Amino acid sequence: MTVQFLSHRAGAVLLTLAITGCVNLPADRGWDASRAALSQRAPEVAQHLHDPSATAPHDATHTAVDTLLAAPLTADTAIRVALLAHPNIRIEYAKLGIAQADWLDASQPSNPVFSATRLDSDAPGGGDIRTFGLMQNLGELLFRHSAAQVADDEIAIARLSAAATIHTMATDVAHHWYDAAAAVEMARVHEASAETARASAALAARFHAAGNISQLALSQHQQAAHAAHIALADAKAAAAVALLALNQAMGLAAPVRWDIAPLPARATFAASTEELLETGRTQRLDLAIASRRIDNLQRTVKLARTLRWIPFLEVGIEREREPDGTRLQGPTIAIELPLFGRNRSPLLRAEAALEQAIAEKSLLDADISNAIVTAHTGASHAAAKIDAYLSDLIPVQQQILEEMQLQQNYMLTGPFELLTAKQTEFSVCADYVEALRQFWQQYVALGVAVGSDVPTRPVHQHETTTACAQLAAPSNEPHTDMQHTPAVHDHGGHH
Amino acid sequence: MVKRREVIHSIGLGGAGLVAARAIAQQGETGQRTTLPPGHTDRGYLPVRTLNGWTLPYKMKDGVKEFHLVAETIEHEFAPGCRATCWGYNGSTPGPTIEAVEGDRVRILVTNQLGEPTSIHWHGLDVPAGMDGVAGLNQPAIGVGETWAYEFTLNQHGTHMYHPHADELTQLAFGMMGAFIIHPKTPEPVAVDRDYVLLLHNWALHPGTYRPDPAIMQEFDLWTFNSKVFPATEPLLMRTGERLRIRIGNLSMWNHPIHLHSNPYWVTGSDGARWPQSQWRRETTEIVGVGQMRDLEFVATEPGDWAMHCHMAHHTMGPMGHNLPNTVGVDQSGIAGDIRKFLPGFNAMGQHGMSEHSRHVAAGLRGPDNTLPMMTGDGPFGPIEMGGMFTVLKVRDDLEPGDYRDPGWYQHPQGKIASKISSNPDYGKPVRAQATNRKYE
Repeated sequence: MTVQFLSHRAGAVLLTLAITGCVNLPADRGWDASRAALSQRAPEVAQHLHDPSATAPHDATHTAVDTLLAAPLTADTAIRVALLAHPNIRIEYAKLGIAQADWLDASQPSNPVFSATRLDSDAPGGGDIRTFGLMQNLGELLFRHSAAQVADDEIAIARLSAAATIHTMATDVAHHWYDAAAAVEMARVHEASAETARASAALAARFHAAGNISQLALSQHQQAAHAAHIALADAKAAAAVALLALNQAMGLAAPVRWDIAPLPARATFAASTEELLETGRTQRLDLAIASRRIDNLQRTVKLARTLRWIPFLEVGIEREREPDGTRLQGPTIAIELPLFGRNRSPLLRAEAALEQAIAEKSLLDADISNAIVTAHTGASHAAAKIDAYLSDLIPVQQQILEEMQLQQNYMLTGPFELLTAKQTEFSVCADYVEALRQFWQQYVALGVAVGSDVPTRPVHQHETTTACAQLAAPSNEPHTDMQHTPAVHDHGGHH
Repeated sequence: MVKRREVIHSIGLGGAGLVAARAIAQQGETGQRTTLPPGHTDRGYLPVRTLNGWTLPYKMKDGVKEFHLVAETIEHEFAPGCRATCWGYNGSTPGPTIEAVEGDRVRILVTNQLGEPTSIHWHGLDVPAGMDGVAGLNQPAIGVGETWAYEFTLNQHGTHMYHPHADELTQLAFGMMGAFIIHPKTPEPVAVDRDYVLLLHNWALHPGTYRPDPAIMQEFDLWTFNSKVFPATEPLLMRTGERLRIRIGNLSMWNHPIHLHSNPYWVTGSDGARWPQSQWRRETTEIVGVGQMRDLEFVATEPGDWAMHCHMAHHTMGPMGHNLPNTVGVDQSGIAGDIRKFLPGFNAMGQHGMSEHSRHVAAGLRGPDNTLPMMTGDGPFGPIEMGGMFTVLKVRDDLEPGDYRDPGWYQHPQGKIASKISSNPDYGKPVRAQATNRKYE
């Protein structure tokens, strides 16, 4: 075999390598794969996920966001706003680019190395020695497939992680939406309560002006009104903070420039614990990532075992021109001798990492099952509590108020007792709103635990508005003041 | 009837005893009078009329008048729109009036169909101790399901009552009471043409409930004449010129000043006895104390509709709230509208008094279930604004003796009714009291 032949062959090999090394990278950096992973688990979220690589005009995105913000924001539209506007989307897209670069690094063999040396002699009349070499890491070539598989795992994990981050962002938006909607509802109840307390204090002032109640009694009514006003201020502040938190969760800058839709009533989601556990096992993105990581580490361990004995292998050709013009050329090989055990560490590290990953997946399995059961238990309890409010406590409170009104009609009880009963009703309403908030948070937690869509459009809605929304809403019905009821006389006795 | 000439003649023959014997002989074996005044039955007396009530019949058994009372749970209506589960006798509260004649031997069977023991005390009657009816003192209580007999001779005449004396607080509170009228064996020197009996009582029937509360001592809801409230109280009827007697017993927890409009009356007796005429008192208002009975008598001198009522103002009201903030004088204009935003049924009321209440009720204002309005009842000229212990005495020129049918409202003759002469609040120059710091001259 001549050197020329070898040179030609080396050139052909290098050319082949060059050609095959130029892989086609997906233009969307694998964003579609992330969307597909999300779509299998949270199709409602995935369907609104836009492609950051698409050259959509900036204004079009703004217009889409403004359109969504123009109507009172529901949990669903809030998530859609976040999917359009949140910088996290672009961050994840950038991460995919980094992952893609990492994949290139990991999956592609090293470039051949060309070397050139010129050695000048300081002997009189001496020439120079020129050496040219071309080396290629053969180990990488030999195990390129295995390395590529490991790299594939890594980028798949990166894409799953992007999907997981987006899913977490969506659930975070939902969590903040329910918090904000409940806080706004709570403020509304407190507003009605404060208005009632104000009216009661104003009425007491009239009684006091007529000389019919003492200063002590008047002060007690005023105290209640002031306390209600302070509670209202607290509730409004809490609502403002909750709205800002939602604004932030959607990735928007302050101030809040949208309204929020009413808190929906209790809903029914029909799924057993067993069904939810099975769903969680198949849906959870972090679990999928953990499984993929184990696969990845298993391949890494296998590769490490092999590379332990062939840690470094490089082949090439070298050509040297002697000072007298003689040309020498031939193959070169460099191989690392695994004498001092330094090549054990990658294997040990990989094996340990694999053990760790397996243990972490087991932990994750346990955490997920506990989270699912906990969330399901919490959601079931919250649902039962809501039912108790709707079927028992609120109707009874309304009955109390109706009976108190009948008593006030017949002057069996006074106006202040009636207003106090109304205040109690508002207090029950406030408790109900809090129970409803906890109900929806439990269901968001359940969606997170199961790894599926966040509940925004439930299977069965129990009513279109909360009972307390009706209680808190001022009545605009026309009313005939009984004080102006004309007297009805039978004048039959007159002559 | 023993005539004066016969008395003088008989004294000559043997003294007053012969006169008495002859009078008794004239009565016959059954105690019947041979000469009956108008309205008197063949039993020899004018039966009383128990307003809204009835008289218990008896059976003669071996010369003994046997009555049978049943103590039981009943359903009672105080007025349309208000009923309750009460306790009474023979299906009613008050129980049926027992009427007998002085000298009668009476046997009263008492069957207990309550859920607890009972007994009956004959209030004001002179009876052997063992017949006095105090459970534990005079007799064992009448057990559930048992029938006991009380038997005694009536040695007096007058207006009396009967009521339980076992768990008396509860059994009275639930309505167990009745009148016991003993007619004199000899005709009254001043006979009456109509004889009414009514028992005063009070009930803690809390708004919206259907059973009286026996634990209440002062804050009662219903004040009744024979367990009825106005406008369900039966009117008293009489003809002009007739003599009327009203026998009033009080088994409530309050004294009641019973006032009759425009017809001063004589107080002629109590549950102790009928008083000698020299002790009769002329009154228009007589306090009938707790546990007392009073007989009131008068002759109606002119026709008309006259109010008769307890003069304690709260006792002529239906259920009303106590300890409420006083609404009189309070201007609630504007605020009522604010309150109605959250309490659509709210009505400001009472700024100028409570008269408007009856108009509100007439216009449909609802109260709690089974609860009467505070004031109600319509007369010929509009709302009477009464309740509780209120009724009407109707005197008519043309009412036939023994006719107890309601003749309707009195038709006032022209010129004999108050009339409006101005609608101007500043009309005339009425003299007013001077400032309080004026010097008295």
